[in-house]
Amino acid sequence: MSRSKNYLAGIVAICSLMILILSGAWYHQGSQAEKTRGLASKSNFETAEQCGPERNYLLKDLKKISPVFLRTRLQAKADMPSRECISYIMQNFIPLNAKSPAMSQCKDAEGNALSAPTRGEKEKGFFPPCVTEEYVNSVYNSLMDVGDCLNVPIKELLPKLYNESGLHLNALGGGMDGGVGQLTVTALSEVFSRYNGESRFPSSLDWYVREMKKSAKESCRRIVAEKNIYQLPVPEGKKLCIYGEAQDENCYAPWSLANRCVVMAAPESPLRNVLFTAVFYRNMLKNATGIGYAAGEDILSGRLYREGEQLNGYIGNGKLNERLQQLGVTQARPEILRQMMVSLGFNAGIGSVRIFMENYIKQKEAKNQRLTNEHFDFQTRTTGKWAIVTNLATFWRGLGSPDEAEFQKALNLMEVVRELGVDPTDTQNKYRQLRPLVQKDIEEVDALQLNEEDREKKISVLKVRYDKYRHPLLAEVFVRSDDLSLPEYIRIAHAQAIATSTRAGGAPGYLSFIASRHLILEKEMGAQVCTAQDYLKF
Amino acid sequence: MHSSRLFKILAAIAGLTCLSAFEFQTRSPFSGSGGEAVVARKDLVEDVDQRLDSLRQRMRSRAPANVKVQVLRETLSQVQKLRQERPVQRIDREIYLDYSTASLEHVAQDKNFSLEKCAYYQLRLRSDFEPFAEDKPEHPALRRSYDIIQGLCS
Repeated sequence: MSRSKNYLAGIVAICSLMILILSGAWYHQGSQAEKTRGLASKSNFETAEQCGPERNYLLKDLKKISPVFLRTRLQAKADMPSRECISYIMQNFIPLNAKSPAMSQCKDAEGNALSAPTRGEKEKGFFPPCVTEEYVNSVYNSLMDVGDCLNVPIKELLPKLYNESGLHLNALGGGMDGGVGQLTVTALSEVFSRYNGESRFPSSLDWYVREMKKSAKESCRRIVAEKNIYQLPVPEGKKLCIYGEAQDENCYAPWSLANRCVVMAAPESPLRNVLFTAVFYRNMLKNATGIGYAAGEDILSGRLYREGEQLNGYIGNGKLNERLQQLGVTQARPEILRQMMVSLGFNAGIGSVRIFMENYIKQKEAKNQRLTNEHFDFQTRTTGKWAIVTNLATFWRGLGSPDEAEFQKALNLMEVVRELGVDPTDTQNKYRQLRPLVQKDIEEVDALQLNEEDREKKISVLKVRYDKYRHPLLAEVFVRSDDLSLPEYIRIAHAQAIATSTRAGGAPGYLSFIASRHLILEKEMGAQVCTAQDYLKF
Repeated sequence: MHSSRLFKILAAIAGLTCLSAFEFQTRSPFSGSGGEAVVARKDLVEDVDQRLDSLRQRMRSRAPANVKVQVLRETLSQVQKLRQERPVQRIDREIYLDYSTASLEHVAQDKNFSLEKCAYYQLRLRSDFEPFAEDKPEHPALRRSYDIIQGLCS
């Protein structure tokens, strides 16, 4: 009796458990469906009617893009993002309902083509373009084909592009960085200089196209078929020049600021812009890893390269991975080091990044300090607390804002330097003395009753003038920064490079910013839908 | 027993004296000025700066480019040796020294050095270290490297 009672109780328990599991599964399914609906609403397309005339300025030129790059394609490979990722990024880069100086046009008000982009009236910029299905397709198909043909890991590139251009082909950065890949004069100079600098080779662009033509990949064939993408039309009476070679007045220089629309205007872009970005990426990859390209394949030391093999370049020759493992970073991997180096290379220059990373390791070795995997985690290691010493905007806020609370907040933020044994008192005192002076200077600018654009220019001059008071504290922090995690150290080292030379450029904390974009994509679109499995962490 | 302890102490003093003499020799080279026989060892950054500043001067000579590039290689090799002999410096100094030398490596290590590649050498300097520079770099170490390459190419 007791046994059968126990038996019955067992069945009841099992049944209850099954009901719990089933209801859990149902709930999970429900919440997934909820999530999917959420995704759809976040990443669906807009229509021209919804957007209105102010956001439809690209539509006419987009229609001229080859149908091969306009029609909807299926996601070709698992290592490529889904099309929804592109739509999501485009719609979540900046608010869609406001003009922004980040958005430009390569046509004037009458619809005439321009060689340099305009930010419109009073440099206020434009509304973001309408995110129609065709617009998304044009960017998605360009990324997929260029990524597949030139072996560029698009899932790794998306957080960077999300951060910089929002994948918009008319995005224009502060330094006139243009289009989807935010191409700069330097990046374009590389595209139009001879491959490896050697006279026996054509320009990097032509060299890569020649190799792409040798590939049997469908993606390469589709790109190669679009001749107008890589064979640039040259204005009458001019000739296309190679960067760095005799340049007379007949020379047409597509890399110059005056010709930025070469890489921004549809219908040639987005494909042209993405192709040029990939050429620049491959040049940096070669420096960082020694990996070259031939007929659609990655080549290392004359052989086909497979992921996980020993690298050359800065990472392999400097034995960075092995040295990290010696220091205790058990999960160190060359692929992640490559991500860090190349991603920041776009922003700070790959030579500088190599120096930052090598010196972090060198100091740890010299001091016999151990490292852990967590020291290299850009996803969870926060670096924002250092912004008061690394970023002009944060330092300025407490001085320039009329709000006393911002000033007090800045003073408190400076306390962070005590973590490194630095005393912020002198800087805090100086900051107190500076605030009334800055406020007075701002009052004088306001008294001029300038328009917004001219006022902003005057304020920018003030910002730069007062920024020098941040530098002594930054220098003190910098000499101790190798005691911190790599993300914190890199942010500080990058800031110090900019304090030494304004032309070093980029944004201190850049890798942290793009790591946070990666996390947003993971959260909003699902794990690895738009993102790489391992990214900026071991 | 007593004499054995005394012997040990004397041996230790002798050993320490030898060691300190050895250190004395390596750390304080003869200045050659006829003044103080012993001077503190030259600061590494100052030493490297002087060598590279002097290299910049030498690149302005009318010597052929292949001779100049050899001088560049020798100077970088000397600097590398100097750095290897010294302990690792503080991070700001190490980074400065790396900027000074790494920005010339692509020229020195090019087995097919050619004057035709000069624009490419300058581009690499800018692209790898100051990607937002429009022409000449601004960082003092990079500016010097720019001048060295320009001298080499002129």
